[in-house]
Amino acid sequence: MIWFKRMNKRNLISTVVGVLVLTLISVFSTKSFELPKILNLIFIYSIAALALNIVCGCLGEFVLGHGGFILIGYTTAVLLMQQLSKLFTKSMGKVYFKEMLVYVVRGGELHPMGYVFIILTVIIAALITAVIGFVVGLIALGRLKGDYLAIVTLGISLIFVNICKNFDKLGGGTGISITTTISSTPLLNLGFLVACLILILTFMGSRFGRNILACRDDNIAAEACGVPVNKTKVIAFTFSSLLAGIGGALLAFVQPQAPTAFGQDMSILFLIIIVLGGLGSLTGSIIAAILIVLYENWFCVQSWVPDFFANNPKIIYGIILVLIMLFRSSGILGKNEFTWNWFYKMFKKEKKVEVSQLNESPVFYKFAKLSKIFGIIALCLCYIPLIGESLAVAGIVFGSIGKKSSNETVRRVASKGLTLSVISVIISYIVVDILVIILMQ
Amino acid sequence: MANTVLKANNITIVFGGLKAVDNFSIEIKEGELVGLIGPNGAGKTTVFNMLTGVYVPTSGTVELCGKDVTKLSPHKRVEIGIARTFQNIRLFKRMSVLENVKVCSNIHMNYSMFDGIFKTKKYFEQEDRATEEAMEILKVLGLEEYVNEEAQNLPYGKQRKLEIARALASHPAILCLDEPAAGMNPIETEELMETIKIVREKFNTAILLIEHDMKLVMGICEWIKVISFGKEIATGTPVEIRNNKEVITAYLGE
Repeated sequence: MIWFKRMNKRNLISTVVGVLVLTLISVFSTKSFELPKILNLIFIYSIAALALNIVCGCLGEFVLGHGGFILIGYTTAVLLMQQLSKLFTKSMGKVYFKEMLVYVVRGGELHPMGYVFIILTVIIAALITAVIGFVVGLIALGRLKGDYLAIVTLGISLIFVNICKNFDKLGGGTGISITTTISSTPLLNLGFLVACLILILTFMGSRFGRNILACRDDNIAAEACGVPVNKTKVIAFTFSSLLAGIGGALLAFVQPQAPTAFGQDMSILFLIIIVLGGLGSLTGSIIAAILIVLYENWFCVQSWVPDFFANNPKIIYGIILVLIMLFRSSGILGKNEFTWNWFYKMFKKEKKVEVSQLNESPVFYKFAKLSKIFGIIALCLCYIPLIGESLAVAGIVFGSIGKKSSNETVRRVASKGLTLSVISVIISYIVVDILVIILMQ
Repeated sequence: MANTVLKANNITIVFGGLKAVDNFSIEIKEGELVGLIGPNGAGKTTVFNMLTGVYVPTSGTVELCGKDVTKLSPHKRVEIGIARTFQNIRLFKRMSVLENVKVCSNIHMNYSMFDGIFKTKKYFEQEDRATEEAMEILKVLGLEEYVNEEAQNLPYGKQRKLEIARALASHPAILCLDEPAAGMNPIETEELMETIKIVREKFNTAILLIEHDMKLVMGICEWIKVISFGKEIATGTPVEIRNNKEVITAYLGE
């Protein structure tokens, strides 16, 4: 869990630069066809994963019905949209509304009123979801002592899914869909993600966040320290439902059709995402969400990937879960966060190793140094198709050799080189692919 | 005449058919250092649990600083002025030492969620004050070098001290320590005795402690209550208790 410190200058600037880069990517992504969809899903899935992580990772309560709350947000947003569109049409006339609604890909722009429309809808849908979450939280947490939350949320989400199935207005047998298309932009979704992240960080850094973490670590001790345990759990659950509602509502503007198994699918999917990323790690959830979205939407549709994956994308989730539990049960990041400190440490100069003092051949040290240099260059040049990749591969090979050294410092340099090279390989594959798509338009 | 901080009147608790504690009474005044001893299974921790609110007594009342708290939940009693440590250490393992202590200062903070999210002046004032107080407490207990260390990484003796530090952050009128010297060697126990005395002076709290280590109990307690099979069998100064026939029988048998 992140401990909120007043950020130092370098980290603050890095974060701002990172957000700016993402903003630029989002704005220019409109030129491509696939990229906006991927970005949208990355941002939205991140929000939903963070929502689940608050209750499962930070509060320590297991929730099986997260998909239900996402579905509530989704359905509410769709209904609101249908009602509001009727209102708008009446007051503004059909022509104006059509302009605002239709977002034309490749050159089209969302009318400013469209942004307002979407933001309002999302906020209202999120608040409604939060209220429902509050009621469910009161029932499950406020009065019962024990692990009933998982079952109660599962029950609620099943109830909701079945209500949707049985009322045509809410979707009927085929799932809800929107009759008038309105799509949001990656920029808007990025904005919501940044807003949600800031909200979560500030909330968890306050006394309410401390109470939540205390309840996770030890219920009884928390009670003995003055933490109102039941109240805290309800607060955490309501907050999580609010975020899930935001995620679901945003999804309504990106994915016009929700299949009937949506609720259950999402519950399991997000549980896997937060376990993969690390329970309690916020950046971990985001990284895991990115991986899963890229897997489903990029990896599975690549021509060089066997059809098996395209037809059964979900099969790998079971395998992932088993692998995580076997090899790294704490998830990719465990309980740590991705920090700029860790990132910049990769580039820092290591203490110079006295070659004469090495009780082994200096070859390892040379390879380790080369690996680090290649890794850095590969990271800078990763957008050049062949050069970037080959440098990175060289970096990986040299790094693996360097790691065999018996000297601690040499090993550390080698692993830094390895990490940098691996990151640049991943980035170069994805970036190159995306650039190719963009440049071909 | 010092005020009564804690008063239990004939509290009894029955679990199923078993009377775990039978008509136990105790009255502790401001600043007193009191011991509660008895053989294992006598009901000492059960008494603690009734005083702090984990159990509700079947009959009898508990008063804290003059208020009747018999049916009040544990976290509300902390606000009135009681804090406790646990027999098997219950720290917030994944939080840092400083965060552990600040959890107990939460009751003194009243900024709203709005203040917390938008980081207003009120937030910084209250949080900084809590951090300062926490640092002072940690200094008194000799833990300031571990400030940002994760609680579960501390050595055993320091963990025990951290629990005491955490309890002190709520400014209790009475501090209940459940076997604070468990698992400690004689040197650590000496250190603990000093710490408890310093704590009582500096923080002006009454202390009630459960302990098996007789050296510690006889060494620092002003007066002692002895409990056996749920019933109190003796009350008095360390000298009186040491020579009390019933107490000796309870511990050593006939």
